[in-house]
Amino acid sequence: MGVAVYSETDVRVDAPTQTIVPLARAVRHIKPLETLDLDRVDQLLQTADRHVEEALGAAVLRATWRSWYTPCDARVLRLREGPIVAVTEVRAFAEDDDAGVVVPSTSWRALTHRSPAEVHLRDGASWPVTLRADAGVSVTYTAGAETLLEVPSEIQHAALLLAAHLFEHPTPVIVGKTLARLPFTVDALLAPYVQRRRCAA
Amino acid sequence: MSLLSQLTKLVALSAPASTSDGRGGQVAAPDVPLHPSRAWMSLVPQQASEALSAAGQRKPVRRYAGRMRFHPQVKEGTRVTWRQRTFEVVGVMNVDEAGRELALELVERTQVTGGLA
Repeated sequence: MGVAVYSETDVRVDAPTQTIVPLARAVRHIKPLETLDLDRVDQLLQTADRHVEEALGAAVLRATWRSWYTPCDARVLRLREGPIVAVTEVRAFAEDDDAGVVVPSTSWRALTHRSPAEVHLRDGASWPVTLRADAGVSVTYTAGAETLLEVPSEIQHAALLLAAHLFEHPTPVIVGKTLARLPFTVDALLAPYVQRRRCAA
Repeated sequence: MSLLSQLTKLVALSAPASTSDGRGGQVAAPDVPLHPSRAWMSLVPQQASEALSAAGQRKPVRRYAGRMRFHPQVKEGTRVTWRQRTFEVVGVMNVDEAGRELALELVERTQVTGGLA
């Protein structure tokens, strides 16, 4: 199988078509002034989604992702956690080459059933160029749940609590109030789903 | 306590209106809904008393403190309807002048309950 590496960075290439919490549900919980505050609630839902995905280290909602790797000798690239639908492109970059070259799909295979999913260089294949020292390979793939029914309710509720918190507290400083962190809220709800990277084998 | 946890009553907001009576005066017209016309609010009883009218009738006066998200059209005189009850805003404060929250003083509009014995 060869050495496996995790990505250095994962970038969401496009935005999901929905948020983890539908706007109507968020409105029922946050109770904003309807029509006046809806844009702000919608924006905070998207912010909450990004935070939840980063906290989990996973793709939650269906979107296109691009992960960057410095393979060195590795022949296995581990993708971000979350349901991986398809790997669409693997690209290799030489020094001073921002465009890169597409690695033919005959040179690799995607194992999307694994968790995390992996891209393996096939036997006899090699990276097509002398890879640059940093982020020499990118993998573009579609990942995340297609419908909210596939998203655990704890994750949905954590996103809702987070959006409500950001709505209630639009400034980073609160003066003159005693603050307390409530147990069993965002962190506790997300904890069972946080993905921790294992040592690469 | 956060504002969100206190917003327990969904109310209708309107402004009193009047129209010409055709003889140089004004008569009451149906209230004009504010925009937005609905909002969540807290209503906390503050004081209950009775007012004695010139006709010798007693009228209960009930005062409430309210909190709601900032609404640019809410001002003194705004009518607040919750279920079958109507309140009139008699005081408005923009909390911290932040444009996020209003603290209200309201008086419930009640019927005259009877004359003096």
